Amino acid sequence: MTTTFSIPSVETDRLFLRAPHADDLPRMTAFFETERSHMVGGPKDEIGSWDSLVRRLGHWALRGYGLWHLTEKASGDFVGWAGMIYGPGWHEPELGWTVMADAEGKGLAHEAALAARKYAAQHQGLNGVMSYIAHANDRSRALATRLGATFERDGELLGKSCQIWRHPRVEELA
Amino acid sequence: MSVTIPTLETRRLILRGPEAEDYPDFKATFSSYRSRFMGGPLNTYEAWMLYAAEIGHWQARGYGMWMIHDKITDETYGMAGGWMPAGWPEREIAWIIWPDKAGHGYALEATHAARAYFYGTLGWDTAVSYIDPKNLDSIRLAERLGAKKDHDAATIDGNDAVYRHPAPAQLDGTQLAHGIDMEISHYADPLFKPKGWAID
Repeated sequence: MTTTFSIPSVETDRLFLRAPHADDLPRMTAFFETERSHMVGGPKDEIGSWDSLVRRLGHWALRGYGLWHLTEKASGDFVGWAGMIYGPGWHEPELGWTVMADAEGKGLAHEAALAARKYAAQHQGLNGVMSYIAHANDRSRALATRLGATFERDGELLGKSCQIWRHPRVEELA
Repeated sequence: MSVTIPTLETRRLILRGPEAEDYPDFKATFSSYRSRFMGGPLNTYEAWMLYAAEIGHWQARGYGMWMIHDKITDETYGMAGGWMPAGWPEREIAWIIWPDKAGHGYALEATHAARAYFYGTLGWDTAVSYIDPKNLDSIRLAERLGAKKDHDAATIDGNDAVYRHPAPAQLDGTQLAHGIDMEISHYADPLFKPKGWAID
């Protein structure tokens, strides 16, 4: 007998949403060392980035859903992550997304978040989900708006105040 | 992507990958003073994230920490296996036993099996254990497993002692291997169960 868990893959026009991999660590570390990471749990050094990587994998095993890492098909580069997060301190499962600076401006976060939201509704029993957005994260708020989400209320995550945005249910979007 | 964690069986134990239903046992120990040599005590967020990391380590490295279960009752006794997060100088063999399950030789039996798997199946040629110098029970266990203090090996942060495990050849039909087997069999047989001190 063995213990097994699996992480599905999802393909969009320009992205593969796939399981996090140990080879992603250098780019995760580079991202988490920048100021850009401050609104999504950073800064972190290599050790902190490793912790994030293996926690993301374990999150899939414990919850049956989690963050995918994003591979841009055209370049083959690892460009960010998106998916559902639900750790202790989260009041419900959250749709989250991050795209690294050098892949920004192409709508990749939008494409990934749409795919993750749809997959969560269809396969993970998570529909009409929310996103935590840091007050200063204007770009994420703009994307949430573009995704059809609306501001619900101010909230708090792990001791930091933030906004809670509510996504439409997937069947409501046709 | 799919991860398969092998199962190991010993005389009294079954070692399986950590599962969601085992988390409350893990949390109880890692929220307690018992975990002080393993980075604890942890709060709820930290404990859950460490548990997720224990599972994710298997996928990232191809090995990791098993949950130790009683072969008959399935109750959990602790964890044992391999550990190498970023920042670790080399691969570690690690263990922790729940505080109320200590003294039965479970850590010895589980760790001995884990080490045999790493050497025999994964082909490791060496391994260390990083131990807090105040963690006397773990130092004793490392010594019972045949590990010796390696003064030249790199430490994690200078606050830990490095115990180097015997190489695979030193465990192949040697007096050391025989001694470990005998100690485990004595624990398994109440007639021979060692008395006098509480050890893992």
